[in-house]
Amino acid sequence: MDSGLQKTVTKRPRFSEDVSRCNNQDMISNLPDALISHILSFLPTKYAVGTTILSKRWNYLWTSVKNLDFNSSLILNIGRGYYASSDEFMKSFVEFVERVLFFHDGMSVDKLCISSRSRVCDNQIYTWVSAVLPCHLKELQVTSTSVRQTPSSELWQVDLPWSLFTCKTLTTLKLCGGFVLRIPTRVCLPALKILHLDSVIYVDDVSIQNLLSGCPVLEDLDIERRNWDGVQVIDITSPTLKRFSLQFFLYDHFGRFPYKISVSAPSLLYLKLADNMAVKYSVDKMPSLVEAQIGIYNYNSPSSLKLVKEVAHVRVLQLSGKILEFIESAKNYKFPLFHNLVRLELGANKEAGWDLLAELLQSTPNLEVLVFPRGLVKRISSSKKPYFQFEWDPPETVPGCLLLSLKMIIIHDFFGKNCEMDLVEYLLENAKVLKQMTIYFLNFKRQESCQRNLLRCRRGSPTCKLELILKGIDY
Amino acid sequence: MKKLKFIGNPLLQSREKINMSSDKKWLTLKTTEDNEEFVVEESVAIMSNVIKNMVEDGCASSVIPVPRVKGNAMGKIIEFCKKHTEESDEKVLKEFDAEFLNLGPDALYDLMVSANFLEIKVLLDSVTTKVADMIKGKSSEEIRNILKIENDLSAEEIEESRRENCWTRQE
Repeated sequence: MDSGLQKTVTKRPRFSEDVSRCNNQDMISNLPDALISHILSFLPTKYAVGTTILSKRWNYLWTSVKNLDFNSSLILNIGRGYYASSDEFMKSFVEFVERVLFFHDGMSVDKLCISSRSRVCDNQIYTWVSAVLPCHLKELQVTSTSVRQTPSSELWQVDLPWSLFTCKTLTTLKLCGGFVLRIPTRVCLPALKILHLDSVIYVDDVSIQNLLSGCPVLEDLDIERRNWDGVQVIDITSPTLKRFSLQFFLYDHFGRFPYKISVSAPSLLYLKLADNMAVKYSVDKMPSLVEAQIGIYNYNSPSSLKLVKEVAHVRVLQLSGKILEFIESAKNYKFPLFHNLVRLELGANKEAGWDLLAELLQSTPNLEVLVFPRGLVKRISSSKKPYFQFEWDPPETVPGCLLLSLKMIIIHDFFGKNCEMDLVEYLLENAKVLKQMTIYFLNFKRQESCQRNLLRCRRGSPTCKLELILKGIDY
Repeated sequence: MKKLKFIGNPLLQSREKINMSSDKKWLTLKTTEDNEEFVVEESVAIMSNVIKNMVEDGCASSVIPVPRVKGNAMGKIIEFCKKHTEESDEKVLKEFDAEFLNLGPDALYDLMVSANFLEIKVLLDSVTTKVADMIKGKSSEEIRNILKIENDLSAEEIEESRRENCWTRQE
């Protein structure tokens, strides 16, 4: 507490004592309706409605609640044995939602979340969304996990009202679930800033761009693709977009079609591209870009190397191990100069080893933080031999950033192999302004055996703090 | 006798020194219910939308009167606003909030009403979340105990309500 405050305080009772001493009465009922309703908005709707039986005053307070959160998985909290089959559960969930929508005063609903686990619910989503959209809805989240019940060859469609795509008040839209999404040709969402699409299946290539052209103020776009969703060319054009994330990993080979992605978002501040499917990346200049995460795993995409050059001006960069492998195998590849780079995170790769590290560090003159989130020899939890060996060949000249700017190094999943120790010792010896090196060990035995050697290492920076942390194995 | 509270540099002893110092602007907030005065930095005070509007409209002269909020609550609110203006680390703020809101329900309501009146969204949402968490998942009897609500419904009324809303059965 501020000593200035204490000086002038006399023998005043403390705030909490003062208030509760005068009242053992029902103070909450003295709060205005709007405030009680505000409290109820922070509860899942099931609990908010439950307050109806607290007292007469509370009977209808829930009806002006501004957040509606219908989560069908909360069924499991209902008294056991009450319903025999899950179909009955779902039917009664549907009835519950309908009662809530019927009694709600409809004045304004800021946020609607529907989480459906069955087709019975999916069929109702259209009606429910239509009912709530006119209440000045700002945020809509629809999640459907019912597609798991569908045989993989069948496509399941969840209908959404056309009025959703012309809603003037919507600022956030999040759709999640492996269902087919039909997007009308004319989309008008003048207030939409945040759009997240997860596992959604599109009807054709232009659906996504159609959606984007109707969002004149869009700032945050997050697309996650988990199954083949019918799109071969993804075209993202948005002059206002600040944040874009695209992830697509397909682990089975059935239905693998290589696709292309083209991004034109000149106002972008943050870019994340992570997939193992694309063959061609085409990205327009992004002069304001501050942070980029590039995780590309498809061999046949030489344009991925060009991508690294497009993001060379960022302050924070994350590169997957695979990219390092591509760079290693590409002949005559020269790293661009990463002028502004302050924080760099590097994935590990067996083929590339750390031959590139010295050259990379030569290209990052202002680097302050270096992180190895997958360790130096990469832990693969399921494999018998979870690490690979590499040769650490120290460069002839010490990279400038080690001498002048590098302040922090973090290494995860450290095994303590000789090659790792060689690299760590080199860094400790040559990083002259290093403030902290943190190494996470996987088991205690390794930490013990390495500890002595590490503490004995010559340190280029006398003020450097060495932190050795045991991180439990999480299988 | 007026009690002057200095929220800010504890070394400064008088108002004159504050006016002469740095380029920071200071405001005096006076709770009209109990005549307590608080000297705060403008950047902290404008976390309240109400005060922000007054400052922007040029109505904020030397002393801003604040009705309906008691001195006690005002001090607490200023402490919150100050921390939230100074600190940007989410984790630190979360810990601070948890400690700060460790109060009984009545004190929380008082804060809620004041934050609502002064239009300080961050504080209002923090307190509201805390109260909501206190009752989330609890049975109606437990909620009545925590919030001290008197049950004025008859047994039949409750039973009928339960039957209609069997989805909300928790007991």
